Amino acid sequence: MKFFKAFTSGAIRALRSIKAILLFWLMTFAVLAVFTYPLKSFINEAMGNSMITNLLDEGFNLTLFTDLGQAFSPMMSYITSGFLILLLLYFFLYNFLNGGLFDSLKTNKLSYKPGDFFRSSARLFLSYLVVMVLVILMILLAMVLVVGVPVLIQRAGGSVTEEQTWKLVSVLRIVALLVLPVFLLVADYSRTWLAANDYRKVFKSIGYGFKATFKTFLSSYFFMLIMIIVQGLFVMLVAKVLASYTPESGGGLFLLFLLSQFLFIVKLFLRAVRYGGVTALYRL
Amino acid sequence: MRKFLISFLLLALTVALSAQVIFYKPLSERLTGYTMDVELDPEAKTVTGSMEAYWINNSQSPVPDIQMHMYLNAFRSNKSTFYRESNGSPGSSEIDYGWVEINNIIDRSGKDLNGFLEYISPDDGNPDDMTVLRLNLPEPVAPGDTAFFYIDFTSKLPGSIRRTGFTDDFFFVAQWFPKFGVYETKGMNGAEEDGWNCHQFHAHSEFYSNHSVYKVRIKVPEEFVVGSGGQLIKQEINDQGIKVLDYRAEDIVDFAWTAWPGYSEHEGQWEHVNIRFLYPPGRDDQVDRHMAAVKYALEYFTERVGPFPWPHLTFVDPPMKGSGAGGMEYTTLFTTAGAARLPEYLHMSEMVTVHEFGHAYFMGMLATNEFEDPWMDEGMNSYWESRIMDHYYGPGKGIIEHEHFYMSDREMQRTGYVHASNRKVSDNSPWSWDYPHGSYSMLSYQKAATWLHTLQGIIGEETIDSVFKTYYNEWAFRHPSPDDFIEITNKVVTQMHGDRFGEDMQWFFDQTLYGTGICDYKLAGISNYKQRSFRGIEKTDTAGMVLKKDDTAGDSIYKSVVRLERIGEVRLPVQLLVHFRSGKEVREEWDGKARYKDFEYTGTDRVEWAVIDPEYRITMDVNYINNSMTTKPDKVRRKRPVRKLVTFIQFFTHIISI
Ligand SMILES: [Zn+2]
Repeated sequence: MKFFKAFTSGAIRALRSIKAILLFWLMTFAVLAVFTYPLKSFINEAMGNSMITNLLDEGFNLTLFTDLGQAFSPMMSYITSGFLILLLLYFFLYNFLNGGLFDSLKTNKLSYKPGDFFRSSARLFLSYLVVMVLVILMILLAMVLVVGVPVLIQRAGGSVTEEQTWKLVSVLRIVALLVLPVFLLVADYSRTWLAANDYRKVFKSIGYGFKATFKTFLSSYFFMLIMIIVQGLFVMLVAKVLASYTPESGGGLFLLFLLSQFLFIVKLFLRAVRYGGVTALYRL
Repeated sequence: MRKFLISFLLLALTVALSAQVIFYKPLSERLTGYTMDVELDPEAKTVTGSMEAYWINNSQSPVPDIQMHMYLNAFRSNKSTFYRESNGSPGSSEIDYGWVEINNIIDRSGKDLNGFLEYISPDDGNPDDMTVLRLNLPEPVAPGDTAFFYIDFTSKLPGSIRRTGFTDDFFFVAQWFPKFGVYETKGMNGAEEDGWNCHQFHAHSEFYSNHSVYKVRIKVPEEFVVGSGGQLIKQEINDQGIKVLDYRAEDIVDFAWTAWPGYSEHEGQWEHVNIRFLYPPGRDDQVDRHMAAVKYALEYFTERVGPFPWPHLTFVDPPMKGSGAGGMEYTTLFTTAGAARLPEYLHMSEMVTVHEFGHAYFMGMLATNEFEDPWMDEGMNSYWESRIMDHYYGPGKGIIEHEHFYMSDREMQRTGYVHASNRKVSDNSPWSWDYPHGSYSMLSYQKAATWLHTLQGIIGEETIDSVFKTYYNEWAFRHPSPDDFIEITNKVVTQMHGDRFGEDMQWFFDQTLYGTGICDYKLAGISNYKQRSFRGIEKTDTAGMVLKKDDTAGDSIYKSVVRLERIGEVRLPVQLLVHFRSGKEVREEWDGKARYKDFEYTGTDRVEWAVIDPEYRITMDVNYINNSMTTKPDKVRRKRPVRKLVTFIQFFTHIISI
């Protein structure tokens, strides 16, 4: 029963936190807009009035990309370093906004105030950062094992065949997927605890994260696994839709923009259902 | 009765022997030949055996010495020229080293020649290199005579495979036996006088030999699967559990073989060619792809260059542990580089298959000197490889043909050259080890392939195909030099086009093969000026100075100017496509010699956009972005990728920040 409750309560909490979700989106969108402008002007400068972009009609022509790189290497380094900066910026931003989102999901009221959202974001920022970094490190470690073990075995040569290595890789991949919910549950329970209790006790919260995960293991685990699969499928769908839609007019371009932002809000909503579900499980 | 039986047996034997012959009419001069009987010792990692070899002196004068390749000695120490050039090391344990030793050598009369051997280093004088052996004959070989040698030798394979060697029970046995150099007569391949052309084993080059007949008996423990460049004549397993395989190969420049118990086998047929493919278990999903690729190559080369004469072809995808043997060429045996579960849209491994097969033409049949003219080997072959890949896997998509991104093989070659920082460091004339600053691969593969594509762009596909057909017809199974290829190009181009490209094509080769300059044409500007009717002061008899305006002539007449510039040193004829607002298009030709050229148009129409080399035929042009210009940039096209990129970042970062 707990298992179903997690979904329904998670969805209801997410719906009640719609204001927080929209605030979340608005903030990420602002950062995006700031980044887009210089990128556009760089590309304009690099291309001049060249018609080389015609080569992009059929897809992403790697040749064009390399020609751009050669003639305008500052732009390439801008894109790569800009990308890194943006990555970090987003990382901190999302972490910041998660605080407000968890608080809103905990409060579970439509009347939740933007002021509270930002106050909680600020209050929880540091603790959430520690939780996020630690859990990501755990996930990375697991991934290194998944990739590294077969490589090491292959490197050692000897009697292991390529076939066996590939089988091992498939097994490890499934293991990784099966273990991933545990890490995410730890992260979510810790953050739920922090939102509800003393926000400074980070390590206590992580301890609680593990405890809560294993206390309600079955319902928590399957809830999270299903959420991961649903979100994964959704992202694949988004990738397919956005990659295959090539607008030919300014209007179409605007539509692409609206569509991508709408899909991103849906993505945020799904994430909120996950956080909300864990919040509900925490309360049960 | 008994006598009758013997003569009957002899007759039967003769018939059986002649049935083994592959070509009734030899394809080459066959100045050298080898009959070998060797055995692999998988524990000691050695191949030991005997060899009967001959060399014909087809020069006009007596020859006092014989020079031979002893190429496995490149792995004998870290001081060999091969290791000095590649900054590598042959390994640290005794088993890692490789070497070849002549245990005994006698001539036809049984005379012991062991005391007449000495190692020489004709290329670099390296006293530690033992890859060229000179036999100072007690008596010179007279013109027209054949010298026979009976040699017992042992080849120890190196443990870290670089083109040749072993890992565990995987063996790739190449450059493994004492082999004659090429005795060049004056004028042949640019030789200034008669003499041996016998280079040491180098980091980047190893092929130059006479076309020969090889009769090779190979003995391996029965569990081994063997592949070689020969046709399998007979196979049996003897009482000691040894598999005995008899191979025969004709008119090939080198004989290599491989043995590994783990090989899976696949056989296929293309017209007269029986194709045998050896690959490691777990890569069954890749077999059809490799087979298709090799058949494409056979078809394309046959149509455009000339026939593949041999009825047999073996190719190998080495296992991961033997990947050092991947991507090598021995005419009727070659190795590719595959991987299990390679996605369908990536054609890298088919590319290797096509490339290594292609060496059967460039270096195998058209037996150029890889040491001295690497571009005729790797460059020409890369050119044809890219044509084949782009032809069969979709124009512009020969290497990657993903739904959303793609890359052609031709563009990959071009990119390798035009974006290299050392692209001007040398022309294509140095010998393989003289390319400075690590430019060997970039210049001899990619630049050469790129200027061959440019040549095709200028003279046309039909003409360049005709050039290569003539090159094949005149030089297959001989040793062509760069001058021979240039001469044929000049001949064919003038035959087909008269003096359209000048007296001959020397100007092209001077700038590409023998030039270091870059090619870059730029569309510098487009202007549309409104032509106004006369306005000004005129002196009249009656009223003095008056303002005169001529309103009759059209204010809607424009003078349009398209400005072209040559930024690079290379001068090539280019085409210009000019598009007007009305939709009218004009094609212009420019010889590309001056530093700039303006095209002017007057009329009611205005120029909307213009492109230099609209089909991107001049692949040497180092920057395509400045080739075109429009007065109406398409904003949507430009914004679309930016939008998609930022959306990707938005989603991606959200996914990873749990
Ligand atoms: Zn090659």
